[in-house]
Amino acid sequence: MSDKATNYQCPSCTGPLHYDGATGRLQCDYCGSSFDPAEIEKLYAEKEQQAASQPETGSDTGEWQSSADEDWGTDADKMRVYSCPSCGAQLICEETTAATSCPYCGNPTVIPEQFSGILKPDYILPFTLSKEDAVSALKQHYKGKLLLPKLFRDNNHIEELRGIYVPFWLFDGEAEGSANYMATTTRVFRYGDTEITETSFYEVQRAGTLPFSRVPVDASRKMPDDYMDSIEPFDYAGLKPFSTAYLPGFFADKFDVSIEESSSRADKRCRQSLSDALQGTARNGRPYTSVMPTGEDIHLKRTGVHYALLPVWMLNTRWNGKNYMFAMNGQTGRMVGDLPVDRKRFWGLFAAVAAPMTAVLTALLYFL
Amino acid sequence: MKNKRKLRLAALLAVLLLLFPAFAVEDDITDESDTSTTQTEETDQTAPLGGTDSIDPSADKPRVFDYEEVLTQTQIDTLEEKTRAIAEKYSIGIGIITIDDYTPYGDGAYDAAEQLYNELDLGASEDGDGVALLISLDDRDFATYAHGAKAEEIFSDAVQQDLESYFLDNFGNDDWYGGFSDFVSGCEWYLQHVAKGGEAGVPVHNEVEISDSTQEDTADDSFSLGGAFGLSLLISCVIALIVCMVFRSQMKSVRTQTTANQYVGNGGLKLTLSRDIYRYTSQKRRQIPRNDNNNNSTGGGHGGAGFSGSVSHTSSGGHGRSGKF
Repeated sequence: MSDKATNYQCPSCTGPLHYDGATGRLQCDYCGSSFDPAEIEKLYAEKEQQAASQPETGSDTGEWQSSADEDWGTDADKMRVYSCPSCGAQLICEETTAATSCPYCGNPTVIPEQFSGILKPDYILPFTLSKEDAVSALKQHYKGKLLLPKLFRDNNHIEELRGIYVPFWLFDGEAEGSANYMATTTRVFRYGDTEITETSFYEVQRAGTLPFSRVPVDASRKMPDDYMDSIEPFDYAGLKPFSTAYLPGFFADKFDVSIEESSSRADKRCRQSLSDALQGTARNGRPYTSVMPTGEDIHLKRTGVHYALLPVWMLNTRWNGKNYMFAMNGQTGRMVGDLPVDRKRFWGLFAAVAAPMTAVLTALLYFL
Repeated sequence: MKNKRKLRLAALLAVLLLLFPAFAVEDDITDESDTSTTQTEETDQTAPLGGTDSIDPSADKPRVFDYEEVLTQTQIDTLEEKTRAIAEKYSIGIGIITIDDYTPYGDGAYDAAEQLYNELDLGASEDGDGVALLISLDDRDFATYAHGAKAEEIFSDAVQQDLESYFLDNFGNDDWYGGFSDFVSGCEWYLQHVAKGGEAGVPVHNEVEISDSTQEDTADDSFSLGGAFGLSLLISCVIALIVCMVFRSQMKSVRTQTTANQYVGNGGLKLTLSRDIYRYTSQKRRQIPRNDNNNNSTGGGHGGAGFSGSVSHTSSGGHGRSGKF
């Protein structure tokens, strides 16, 4: 495997370029020039062709060199070492790392080989929200939370804030199935001195198909599944054919959860959706008093799987010795993350509600 | 207003208890006092019943006639003691009668109650004021009968109907003593209520007060306040907990998705089968309790369906109600 990396540099001043979500262009941190991603991609494709026809020149081509002969013991298979083409520092990365930045010189760097051949994603959804948007969204996330500890709100410093292109599998398919229900209608009427409760029983049969398009399942073991579920949905209208030109300035990983491993999560959700939909047709608009499922048989037919990189801002804070993680959809701004509960505030609120209510109710019950 | 007066009275008693313990305790024990301002007021209020000046000589006679022997001797003695005390204090006789069959006495339980009330001389005072409860066990009929101007005014048809709600459930469970005991307690509560200035003949549905009816007003008030506080505290705590849990749920925003409804493709659900097949119908029948004793006594009564389907009766000597349990 080739471990070459690309450091996108400004064609004008050779300064590092990073992708700016707000403008949708690659911007130079030094001279302020901006470039269309397609333009840079074309430029670097030409460079790669030239490099392929010449002997490797290492940092002269702006590419990182891996140190394949380093001894990493049992972790060797999971680690990669690169030399930064800008400052020459040796960096240790996980094997899935596809885009990162040098902690010494700060240059954003892409490892295109992680996304070549069959590993190349079909789509990428570029970031539209910036780091500042994420910080602002986190503050907004704290608002209106009465039980949030004041110290957490006031002294909370973001320890880590990273924009990550998270690998996702997008599943296309169709759920097909049938379900049976026992439904009842109830009528109560009087006949002379007798009250009669009449219950009619019906066997309700439903079958149908429900198509699904691009059900997302994150394909990175590092990303918590529940966080990735919670920041849904993404607006797929913004999907673009994959290009590494969108990566500079952000982190990116290639997938390390296979389609087979991920499909069960998508299947489970699709199965439940069809089950709910079928049951809905038995309940809604029908005269039944009750509808009880008696059997269900649902099959899933997969029609396609897409590999996409979706934008996520990950924020980490630490409070009282405990880590708190937040995730924000880099496209829609949806922020999620569990917050600590201040016990004193909890019981204070309890007392503030219970005490006056007890007094008022006692007065009402006693005097009225 | 009445409750405020009770509160003021309770506060005054509390002050008296603190300042003059011996004096106050004595006041608590006895109902009548010439020296206490508050007790004088109470004596004035009981005056309309006319039973506090002297003991009615007719009070000391049997008023529990358990022909069907459904009560133990101890229970009879207890009930006799209660009815005697009531007759002495309020000059109203409370009668209790059990028979196996009402037919020898008339067309229904009410006729039997009226006839036996007079034959057994259950009333008190010169006018024979009183109220009786009769049960006829063969047909599970009951009747209440009030006699005399004072008793008829206090134990109006509406009050008798209210009293039924206290003893009928006991009779329904064959708890004879419990039913009679509740009836006597209920009668006593209404007499006490009127003696304290309450409106005669108007039902006041208050099971707690009736079942715990005592001679001490302050005890009733404190229990009522305590009950109101306890109930309010319970309700408030539940509501406060719900409010807190709502705010607590806001702190959690990370949840695993269980459906893929947001990714349903064009066209949505396509039903390929939609069949509703009728299988069978089952019926549950419940007999609605109905009183078959619809014949009214002399004077033309009126009836209605209640817990036991009881009806009202009016006759020349008094009025009452009857029904089944």
